Amino acid sequence: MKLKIRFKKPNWQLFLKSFLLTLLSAIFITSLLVALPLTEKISDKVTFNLNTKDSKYWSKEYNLVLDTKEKKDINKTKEILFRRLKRFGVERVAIRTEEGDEETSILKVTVNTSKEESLVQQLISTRHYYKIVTRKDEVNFEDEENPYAIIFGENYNPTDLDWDMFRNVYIPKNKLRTNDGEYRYFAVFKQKQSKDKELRTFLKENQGQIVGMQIDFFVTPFLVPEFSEEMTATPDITIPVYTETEEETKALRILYTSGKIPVEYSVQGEKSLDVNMIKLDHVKLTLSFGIAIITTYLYLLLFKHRSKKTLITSFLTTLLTITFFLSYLKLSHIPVDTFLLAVQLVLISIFILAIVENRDAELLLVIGGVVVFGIIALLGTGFLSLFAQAMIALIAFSKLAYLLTDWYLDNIKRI
Amino acid sequence: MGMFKHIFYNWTWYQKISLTLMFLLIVAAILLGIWILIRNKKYIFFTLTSFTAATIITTLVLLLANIIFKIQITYIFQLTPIIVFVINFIYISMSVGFFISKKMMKNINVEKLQKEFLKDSFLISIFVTLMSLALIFFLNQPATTFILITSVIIILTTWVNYFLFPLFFKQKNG
Repeated sequence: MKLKIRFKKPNWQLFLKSFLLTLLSAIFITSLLVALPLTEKISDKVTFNLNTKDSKYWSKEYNLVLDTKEKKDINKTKEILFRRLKRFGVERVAIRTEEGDEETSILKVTVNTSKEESLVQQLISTRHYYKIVTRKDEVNFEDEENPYAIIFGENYNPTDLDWDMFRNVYIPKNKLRTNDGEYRYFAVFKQKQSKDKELRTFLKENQGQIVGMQIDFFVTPFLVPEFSEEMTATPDITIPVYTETEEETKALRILYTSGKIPVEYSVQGEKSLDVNMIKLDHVKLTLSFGIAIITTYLYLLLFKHRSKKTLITSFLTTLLTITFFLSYLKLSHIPVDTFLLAVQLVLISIFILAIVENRDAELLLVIGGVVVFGIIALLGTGFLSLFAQAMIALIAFSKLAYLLTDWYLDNIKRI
Repeated sequence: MGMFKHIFYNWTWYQKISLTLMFLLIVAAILLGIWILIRNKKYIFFTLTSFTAATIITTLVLLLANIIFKIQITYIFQLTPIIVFVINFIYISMSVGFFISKKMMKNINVEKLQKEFLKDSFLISIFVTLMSLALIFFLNQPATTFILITSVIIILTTWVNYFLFPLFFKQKNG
């Protein structure tokens, strides 16, 4: 008797679907485990604790004394300081004007932030007035017993070439190579067209010599490049910038480009304050949100406010969106404000329910949502901008989660 | 009134202008989106009135909370108008979706649209109420007040929208 073995042609589509469903289930469960609080204690190999900003916040009030009584100058100073702090990402800024003595005015700048204190202080206390200066003939800059002569403004003669000469100061994002082989950031000064002739004359007269850029009290020396009459473009003034980290360079970039403070001022006193930010325990937050979302969907299901399919899809999409988002935050160690996180989670839950319920409104909701939060991210001040940026990420996650959930629920029934 | 005095005297012009521009651009973007999708003038006027009403309700409730209940309107309440605007946008978008799905571009079925508004109003009110109630038991004081006040404003705005609807969309007789 001959034995015939027949092999059935495998159903590759079914095999692939099963494999993808299994993979997705594994991803869902893993991201849920990562997102849940206290699960970071399970593994020693990967650290994924939620990096909350709550313990990093500090608060101070700075008293600035301005050498003016002119309302216009006081308001301009206020605007520039606010703009500096906003661009740096300081979460809360309040600036109050008070009367000083006969010739002075007082600005009280209060900050509540998680940013580096020294850099915030630099942004508040530095006027950052810069001008080109030339060396005094009588000063010995080579004196080994006085190596710091090179940086003090009193050893230089002022010129008329100050910040009004320049339309922009640009600090490239990447470090450039110096003559001694090191890599450093540089500031490139771009002059105004109307001042080009004046600057060109100065550079021609001082070519090959070391002059300086005085910023407030200290001078950064630079060598004036040699150039000939045939050169049509005036060479840019470039000075090294002594910052090491990206944050320090960002602060310096802001100082150069946030505007010109019109008056001299000084910081006369700073006071530490109690941090005035709402902090939440993220374990309680996760628990309370979990209970809230389950209760809400159970109610909607029991009282048949929407169809069962809509509610299940919406619930799973919400769960997936939030677990993906929290996993992403935990694995990337992005610092978060726990209170803003609570509000974001509630808002995205309502958003997802609306998308799942109204498929025809999806385009308006997703694109409209991104545009609305984009506007808030650009124009909102302090923590509003941070809130909006996270909402844009949540909308993107929700779109992905909806596609996965919809596919998953459709195919799991068939398997 | 201390709230307005604080904004007037202590906010910088940059803050005042950028936040005003922000809200105006948000409304403009939403109106543009709705116009592109359904090209219905009544809907545009309804949406504009809805956002105006939301602004008035938010301001009044915060004022009343500050004056009558002596609740301090702190920095976190800057989020309240944004949340109200976003939920208002979601609410109106849900009705736009229904409008498109029932192909009402040429003939608006006012009764069906009103029924849809009623269903959506109930859904949002229940969702916001249940979420807020569940959260406030676990959160501390300033957060609780913020959630309660913002929830009240959202629910009020939603129902004002529902009652504004017949003013713009009247059932044709005969």
